[in-house]
Amino acid sequence: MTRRTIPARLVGILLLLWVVSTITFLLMFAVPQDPGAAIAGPQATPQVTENIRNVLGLDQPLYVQYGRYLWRLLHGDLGRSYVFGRPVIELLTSHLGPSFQLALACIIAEAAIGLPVGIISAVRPGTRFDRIAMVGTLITLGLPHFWIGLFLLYLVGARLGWLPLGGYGGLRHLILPALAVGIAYAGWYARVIRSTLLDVLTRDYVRTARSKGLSERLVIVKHALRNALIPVVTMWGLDFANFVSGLVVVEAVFGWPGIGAQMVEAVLRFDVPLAMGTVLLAAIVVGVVNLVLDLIYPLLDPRLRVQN
Amino acid sequence: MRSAAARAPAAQGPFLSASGRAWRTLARDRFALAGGVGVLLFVILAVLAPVLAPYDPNYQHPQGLSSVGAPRSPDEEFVLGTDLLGRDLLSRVIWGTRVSLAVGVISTIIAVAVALGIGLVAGYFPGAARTVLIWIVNAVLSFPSLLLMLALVSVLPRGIWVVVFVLSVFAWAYPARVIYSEVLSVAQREFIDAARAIGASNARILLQHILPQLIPLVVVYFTLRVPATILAEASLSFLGLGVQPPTSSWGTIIYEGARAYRSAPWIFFFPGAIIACAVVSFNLLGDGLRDAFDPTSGARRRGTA
Repeated sequence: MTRRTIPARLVGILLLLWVVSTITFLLMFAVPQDPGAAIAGPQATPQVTENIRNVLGLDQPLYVQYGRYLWRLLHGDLGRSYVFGRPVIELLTSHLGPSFQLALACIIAEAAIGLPVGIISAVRPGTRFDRIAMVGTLITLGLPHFWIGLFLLYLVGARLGWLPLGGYGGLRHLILPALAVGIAYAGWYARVIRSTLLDVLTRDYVRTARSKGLSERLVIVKHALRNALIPVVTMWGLDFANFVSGLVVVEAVFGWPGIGAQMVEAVLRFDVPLAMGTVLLAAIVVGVVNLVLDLIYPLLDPRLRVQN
Repeated sequence: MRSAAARAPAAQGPFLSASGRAWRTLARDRFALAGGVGVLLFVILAVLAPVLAPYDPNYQHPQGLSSVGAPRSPDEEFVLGTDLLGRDLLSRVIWGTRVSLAVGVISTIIAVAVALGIGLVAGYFPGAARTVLIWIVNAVLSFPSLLLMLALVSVLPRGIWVVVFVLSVFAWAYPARVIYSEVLSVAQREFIDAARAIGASNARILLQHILPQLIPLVVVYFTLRVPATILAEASLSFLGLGVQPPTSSWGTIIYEGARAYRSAPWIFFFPGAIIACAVVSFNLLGDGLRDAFDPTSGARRRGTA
């Protein structure tokens, strides 16, 4: 990806955002429950409900509402949450911080667990460590991450009493949710780095490095690993983008006040604008991270610079 | 790398057809056989649930709760203990197998069928249709799928068929891309030119000549997609948005057990372990099938082991 393709990519992202926003708009329009009633609450008189519907423009035809929705969207206005009565953008930004923290902690955890295991396996293929590690990754990849979360809560939080039982706070609150996700997905990192490293170690330049008398440690760390890590960077970026909004279940298990937990609440309480805003935000994060990854690639892999 | 070269001659009998060779490779693969046996056991468990479950999964045993209303831990009467309502956990897990497996398999069948249709059309007919279809596939792949799944679930009535529908809506795109690229390469082979030269219609070429070539790929992707769908169903059900009570799936049992994870950890523990067994079985079988159909792919997975 050269700089020339950036405008095309941006158009692609905008097109995608338009599609996502239209889908969410149509979905939310199909909600069987009347949002007017949801805002007014169970004790409201029909007049109050009707009034709210009128103020929000919910009594207008579909295309008018869609036009207004897009128009406001273009001005960065995501509307007001039905349930909380605050602007959606405000609610999203206040939950974005915790979500970023958790996503960051999770990608660090998965790489910190997976990469060393995969590297040792690749350096000593066929050994007992390698076999146990590969069977281990097979099993952890089969476990639902929320199950690992519950297990950690039970064992480390409740039985051993070492860490808090969920909730938002400092580093201590981050450890268990990050470990749950880390253990669940570390297997991918271990497998990818193992197979790419095994492949890289057969290359000519590695043989050259060895034959000129470099220590095995230097060959692996300085020569082989640098190239083997390139696919891992992609995985990291994509995981981060997905984790910002996609750790819905982990956030539910640990009571972490992130975007995903807020989404579940919005869905369960028919908070249409909040749910739409969340989906859009997630699409933006994924799109931007993808673009950044494409820009970073040539910096990591000089061969791509030559091609362009 | 070395292992593929070493295994290849053993797998290539002189007079074996391609499928015969694949079967032989599969029969020699201990991991794949273990996975196949596992899958078979789960199917048996699901089919024979009424026979194998010791109790009615929804019956609330009076002796299933202690005098203060706490669930019973595993003992002789209730092998896996009871849940918060005094129901037999083993029976619920066995009946849950039926639901989880059915949801996983049926949504994957739908997803793979859609993927096959789109992959065939996009791969065989160049032009606008291809451009549009591939754009849609890529768009679906870059959707925040879990969030859209939640949004979709929220507007539909809750129930098993809705779960099946929602899961398949987001599961077809990746296999579609894989099938598409396979169709692209098959369509360039000589026997397709030959078929066209003798005047075969497009439909005939697609169904009689290209489709059979895709069967191994479809079987492999089906086997590898089922566990992903099982995990997705568990996630939805865990959020209370999937399979609804009193029906039990593995995910709903974990959801119910999560409320009492400190006092009754066995409730969430066993269904999670079962999910892992099922996912591992399908993955082992799928990996084995892939190696059997395509001997060069095994090198990446096994390395020099």
